[in-house]
Amino acid sequence: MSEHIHNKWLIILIFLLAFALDILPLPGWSIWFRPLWTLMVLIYWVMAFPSLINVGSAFLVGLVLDLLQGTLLGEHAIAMVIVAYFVAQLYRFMRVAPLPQQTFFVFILIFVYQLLIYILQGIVGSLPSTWAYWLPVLTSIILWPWMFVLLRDSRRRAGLIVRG
Amino acid sequence: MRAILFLILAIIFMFADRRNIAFHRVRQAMDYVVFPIQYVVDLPIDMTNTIIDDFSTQQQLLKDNASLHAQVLLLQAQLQKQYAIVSENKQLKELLSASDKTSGQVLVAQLLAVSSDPFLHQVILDKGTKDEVFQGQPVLDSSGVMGQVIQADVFTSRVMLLTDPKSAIPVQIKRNGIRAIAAGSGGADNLLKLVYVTNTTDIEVGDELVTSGLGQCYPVGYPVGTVITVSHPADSQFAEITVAPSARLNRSRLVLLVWPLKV
Repeated sequence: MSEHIHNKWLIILIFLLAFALDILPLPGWSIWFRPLWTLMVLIYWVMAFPSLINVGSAFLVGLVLDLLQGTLLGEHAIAMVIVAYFVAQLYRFMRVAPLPQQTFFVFILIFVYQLLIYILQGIVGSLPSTWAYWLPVLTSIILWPWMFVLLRDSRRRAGLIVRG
Repeated sequence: MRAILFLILAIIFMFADRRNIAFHRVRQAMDYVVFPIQYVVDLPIDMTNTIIDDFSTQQQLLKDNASLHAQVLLLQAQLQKQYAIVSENKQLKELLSASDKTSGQVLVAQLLAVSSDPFLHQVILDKGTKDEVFQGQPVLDSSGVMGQVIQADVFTSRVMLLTDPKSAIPVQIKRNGIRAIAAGSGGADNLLKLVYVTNTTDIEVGDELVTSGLGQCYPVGYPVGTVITVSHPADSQFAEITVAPSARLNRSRLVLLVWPLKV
């Protein structure tokens, strides 16, 4: 029982850390390079505990991100729910795939996410008009292998075993 | 399917947030949840600044003090000139029986050191409805207009900068009084553009723009920006004019909230 609560705290803590990184002020030239921290953390947790962290958590996480970023409420939520759905369907494949393949797969997911936000922004009427909008996909995917190893090790250190 | 349920819920949220004013209360309540996160991110940065202030040397302080004294003298001299102009202006306006629109109360606010999506051109202030900040309130910095409050929460408020693609501000040219609307370009270059200005209008590079006060949102006569390019595309009857904002949109940390007096 105590382990069960403990593991939830680790998950929440890492989500909070990701939120903080998502709104941390950066020098002006680098704002477009900011990786999609929260999305990467979400992808990892869905992959590790698809029965605990899934579309429902993705919805909540997306709403918090909308509130933090000042976007229309539900915008990030939609994109997060769709990405979480695909991860929850394909987590078996993603877990056993070698890291390069897994990274490529995550690249597609992150690209889909950024594309969804792009489309939704377009519908709302403030389309990002610079190509730099797509840079976070690149920085995220460069960081993914490190993120994956880091989160996996912290999960193992907390004594959590991946579940189905 | 649960995913579809949540998708529909998210779409309903989006519609409500965009169309329904009453839903903004809900959003305001939800912001209590994220305020701690913003606060925790801002705190160490704020503290670092405080520590830097604490450790600034006496010599630095003396130097600052001297330069500030000089600045105060200069400003006071200018102010005296200003007083005469204001009273003269008032008399003239009374002669014309026009209503005198003086700018009202102001409050200094600080930017929270958290950033929004880069394509949104928004900043967050540390003052909210508890300091009587309201939606639509104009925000200035020491060198010009910054934008307006678009969402006032209890402890914080969100400001849309002039460069946001949704922002538009009524302006007039200082040199000849021609009125126009300056809309945000939304690009990464942080510029404004003048929209629907005909090719024959007398606008030159270097013209200064001030608020015209039309539209009742921004007070009259504050600097908005300077014209940096004017081009006349052959296929359009409107000129393409870009404007560099005079407010230091991405550098100011202290800003002014203005309560315009009701006329």
